[in-house]
Amino acid sequence: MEHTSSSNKNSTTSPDQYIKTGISGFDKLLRNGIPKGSNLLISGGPGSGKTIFCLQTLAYHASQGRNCLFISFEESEKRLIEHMDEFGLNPSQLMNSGHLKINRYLTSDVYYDENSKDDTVQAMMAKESNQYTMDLEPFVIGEEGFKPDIIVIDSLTAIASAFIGGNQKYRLYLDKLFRFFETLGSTNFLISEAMVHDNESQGNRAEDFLADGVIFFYNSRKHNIRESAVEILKMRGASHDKKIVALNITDNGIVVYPNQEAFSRYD
Amino acid sequence: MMGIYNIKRWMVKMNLSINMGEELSSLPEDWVVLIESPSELANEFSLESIDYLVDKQDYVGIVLTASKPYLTLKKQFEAKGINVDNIVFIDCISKSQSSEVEQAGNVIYIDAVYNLTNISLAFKKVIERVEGKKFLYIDSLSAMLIHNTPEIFVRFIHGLITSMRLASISGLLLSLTQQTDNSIKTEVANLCDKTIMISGPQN
Repeated sequence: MEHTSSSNKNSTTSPDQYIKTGISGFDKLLRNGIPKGSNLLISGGPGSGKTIFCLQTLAYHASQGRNCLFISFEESEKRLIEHMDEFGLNPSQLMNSGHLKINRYLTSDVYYDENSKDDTVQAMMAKESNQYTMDLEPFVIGEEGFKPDIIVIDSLTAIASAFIGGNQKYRLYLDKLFRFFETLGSTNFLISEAMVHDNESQGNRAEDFLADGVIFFYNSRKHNIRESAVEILKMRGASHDKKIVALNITDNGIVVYPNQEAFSRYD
Repeated sequence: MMGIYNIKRWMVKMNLSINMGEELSSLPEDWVVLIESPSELANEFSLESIDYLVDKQDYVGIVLTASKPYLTLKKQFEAKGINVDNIVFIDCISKSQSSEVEQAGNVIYIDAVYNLTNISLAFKKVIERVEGKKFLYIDSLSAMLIHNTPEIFVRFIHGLITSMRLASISGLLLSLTQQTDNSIKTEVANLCDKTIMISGPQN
């Protein structure tokens, strides 16, 4: 029996209002696709396939001529390009075409620590204005005026680490981030670390509530092997299957099996 | 529908393939049969059944093994004169014991018997790629249950049999007498068209 869910019965079904990931098995879990302009939380434990999923999605859209931006607070540009190369995603070609940009920043670039000794002009201005969070536009648009259609941020967990002891500020920052994305009209994939058995974090974090969609990647251990699976936990404005299905990370990237139940326990 | 056999050991050797033919021919197309066998007869029964289906009925066999490695089975089948070119093996045990496994065009190695997801995916891959009328032979449910919880295992078998029904594939599921929990056998039997019980010489 197929279980589907739609959180917006008034949504239209015009194909122009949805995007695909280009990962065919995953796209079959969504009747029409991901609503354009959504903020999606890509959640899961280490090694579960979150980053590869996002890189594949970006490569697919960049190859279709859409502007794609990967903002990394974790891995270097070089390492990410190597990842894409390993999976045959042709990063050099896509970057040369001008449709794919990969930029790495430090978490301190987005948040001003009032106790820091940072004496840069930007930090002093932030302190003066008591805004704590830096302007987002330079990170996303850049000096070249590159306006992305699809954005990946890797990761919210890294950003959150800059707000230790300041949960309220982190939530305000996320709110500001999401509002900024709304003005851009981009569809945004926000990677976040979460453990499957951590009930406190799964589905209960600030970002879970703020996001339009949550896609959870599982990497469950059974004896001495691990099994991967994926689930669309929520997707505002889109019908989707409500089941946990098998996923494999192959030499060509992620393969999702929409009709294959994953037998490891995920509760 | 349940056929109950009291087959002496010599009768297994002499007549089992004929009996199997009679039993299977009385079933609707794309039959799925649960076989209960004492462990001392299981190997012989497996060989007779596969020989009958592959060599006499022109089936392509898909042998899902959780009790013997591919290489051992291959040798046994060849010794019996079974044409292994018409069999695809899904070997769930060799890879868990050795990182070096003999690659062949007709074998898929699964990393562990408890990786039921990958076993299902391998089975679907085989039925997509292999043409002709096919049957799945599982050897054995009892061995698979050593490594899987009953609840998840029954879900797996249910999914597998559903896939078989949808793809019009027949099936022989071997279960060792006294080594498989009765409640699980009942659950699996409910999903099958027929249960064949084989009893040893002492019976």
